[in-house]
Amino acid sequence: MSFKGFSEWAYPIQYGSTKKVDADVLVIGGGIAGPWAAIEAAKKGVKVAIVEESDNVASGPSGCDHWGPALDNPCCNISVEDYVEIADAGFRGYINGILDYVNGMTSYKTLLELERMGAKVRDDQDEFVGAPFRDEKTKLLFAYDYETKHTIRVWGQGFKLALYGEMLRQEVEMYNRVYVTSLLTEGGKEGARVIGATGVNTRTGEFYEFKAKAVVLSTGRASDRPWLYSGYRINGLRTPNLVGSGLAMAWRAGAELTQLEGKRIHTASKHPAYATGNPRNTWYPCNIVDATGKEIPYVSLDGKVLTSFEQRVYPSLLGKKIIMPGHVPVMNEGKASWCAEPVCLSEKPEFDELVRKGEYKLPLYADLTNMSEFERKAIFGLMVGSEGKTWIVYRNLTQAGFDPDKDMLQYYGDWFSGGAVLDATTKRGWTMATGSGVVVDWDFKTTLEGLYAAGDVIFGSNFNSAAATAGRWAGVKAAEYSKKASSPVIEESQVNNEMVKAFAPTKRIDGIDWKDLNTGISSVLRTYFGDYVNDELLNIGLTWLNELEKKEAQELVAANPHELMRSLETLNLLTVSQIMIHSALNRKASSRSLNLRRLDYTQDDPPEWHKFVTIKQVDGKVVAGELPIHFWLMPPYAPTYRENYEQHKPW
Amino acid sequence: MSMSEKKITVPIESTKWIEFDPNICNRCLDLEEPRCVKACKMDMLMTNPDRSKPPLVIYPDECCDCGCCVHACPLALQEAIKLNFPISEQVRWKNKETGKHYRIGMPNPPPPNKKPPVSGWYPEAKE
Repeated sequence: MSFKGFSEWAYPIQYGSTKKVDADVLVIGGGIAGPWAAIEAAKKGVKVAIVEESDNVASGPSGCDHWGPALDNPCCNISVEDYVEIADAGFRGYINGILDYVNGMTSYKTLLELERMGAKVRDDQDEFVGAPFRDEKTKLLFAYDYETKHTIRVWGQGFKLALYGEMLRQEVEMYNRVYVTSLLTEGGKEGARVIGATGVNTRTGEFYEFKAKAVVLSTGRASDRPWLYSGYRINGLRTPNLVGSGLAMAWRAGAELTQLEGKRIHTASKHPAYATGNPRNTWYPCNIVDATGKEIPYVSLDGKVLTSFEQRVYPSLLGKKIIMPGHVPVMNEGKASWCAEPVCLSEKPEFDELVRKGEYKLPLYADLTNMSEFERKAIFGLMVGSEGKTWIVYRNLTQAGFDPDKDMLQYYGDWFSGGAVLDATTKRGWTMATGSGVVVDWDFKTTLEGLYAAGDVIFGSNFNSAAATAGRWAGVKAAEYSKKASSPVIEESQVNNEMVKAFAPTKRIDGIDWKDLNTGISSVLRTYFGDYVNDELLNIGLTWLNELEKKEAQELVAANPHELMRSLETLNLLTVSQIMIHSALNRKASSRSLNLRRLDYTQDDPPEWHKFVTIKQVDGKVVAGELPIHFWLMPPYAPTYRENYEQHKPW
Repeated sequence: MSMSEKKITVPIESTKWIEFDPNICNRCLDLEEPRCVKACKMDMLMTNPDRSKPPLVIYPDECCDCGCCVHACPLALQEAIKLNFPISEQVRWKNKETGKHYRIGMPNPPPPNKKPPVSGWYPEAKE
């Protein structure tokens, strides 16, 4: 880009000033889980503050086109128990059963709350009367599985504003544009009760000291920035200000994390999200055709070629119980065989060979033209056009003349396929696994007293609905805890240390910028924590990361509070990268489910390693532990989902 | 010179990724902060120190194409603010009948498809 000149900074600079905030419940992160936690906590009559790096009006993912699995909706005909069992088998036990069950039981009830707040969640304008995915009585529209009806198509673009309005009504204090830098603990000690946080205003540079009786962490998971940052645009599926900040903070405070060794194949996004069709979720079950117009078939999880469109959406036509595209990564014994999970053949690794043989001609297109008007309207007009984040895709495509009735969108392969033959420029890499996160119990409490967590920052979390339902649960639990908890006393030396660390990049004149450090971290991760690893690779990688921490991280320069925010994010990203490598070093086995391919321990998920490896920091040292698969159904918990749900449910 | 006295500036770069039409943008003078600036997740739009002018695009390469700025603008459909995808992200398509190829951002583009999303444009945007 061409430099035009300098502008005066628009905001008053307040370096050196501290704002103190006192609340009963402090919520850190204002995406989806955070506002829900704040609202439910406030309803319990306690004083709630929510702090967000962006602005609560549009922070976090900002869009939602499908809601669920909403197993408690009146049309759904699969039980929560059955659903959790299918997911469990599909992920070989590496799920968060607590979250899956809580979400399954409360997802639709939560959607009704959103509707009450003013969001549009059903076809009340009768635009889809007669569509096979519409329930004529409730006017709900279903996605993916028109038989089981577990997931609901929604107008997500109004969700964030609905939550924002409700937070105002519930008198939640909002602190926008404040990047939280650390959790404060009792006595300033690692592993002690969490009693607040510190932060920096990203426009004024003012320092914040939050004191709270209970804290809810809802800061999301890392975006593409660990492995895929190249110093140029950082767009992607997840907002690039997400670096796993909450994981880094929780780690420094002594909380237990799990599955940080997990990662999944991911390609650097080359196009705006959902702008090229993707037959795996939003655009499911769209037609994909080759250059000659030849349709590329969908195939089921067990390899069966689907011969009709109906087979993509009616599981019984495939002899299966459920369709949930993109949800179940591996075939396993047991009830995973209930799941069809059709995917377009273009997404399978064997497709490359078919192209080379000339069976299909490139390029490929997402072709809505010969689908039913209902499907075309639901996919492009609703799920793309009214989702929120992809509103701009609908706007820019239609303004440029694209018409899904007549035009076919060029398809480049999606994030998870690798897409080697589809786009030679694909920058293939990895992203943090869905499973990675903070360990929580049936109260969504972490291993630290006073610290609750919800949304993508907890292990095994994904999707808007799961963040919302866990957020609500955590909010109530944190409020209840705050009513009984003693008034915290902030350890001033801890605050002062955090202040010195936070502002260090503003004190330097010469040094390096955050982009240099971020690119350096990505280079280390790609080289030493890539497709295949062994102890030696991981140890070398860790050595380089530790060196970056000691040298280059101490040379970061920030010319204004905005650059300071990115610098502090990048320092947290460095911590998260170190935790990921420590975690991988502590799993001495390969695991298909976690995408960990070890050259020194090649056996996939041997029985003795079929468990959650946990990791935390004690006295500055890394301490690994373990939790059995299904630990949430073992003592001290009850043996069934239903019993635990009944014992812990906050309403 | 103490930190609070140091003159804080921000570099401004030439970009077409976010464009304001100064004749249509009303600067949201009813609000302390323009709606697009408030909505930006990456905080790469800045209220213009000269409030009589549209917001400034700072750090344009941090833009993640989320479109929240345009979505938040009541004059979005009049193009007070436009988000233009970078050249490498200008999605392409083919007309099924004629076989002709198109892309976002091409010279002499076909006429816009005026069909709004299901249930209309987002309420914030008024035609």
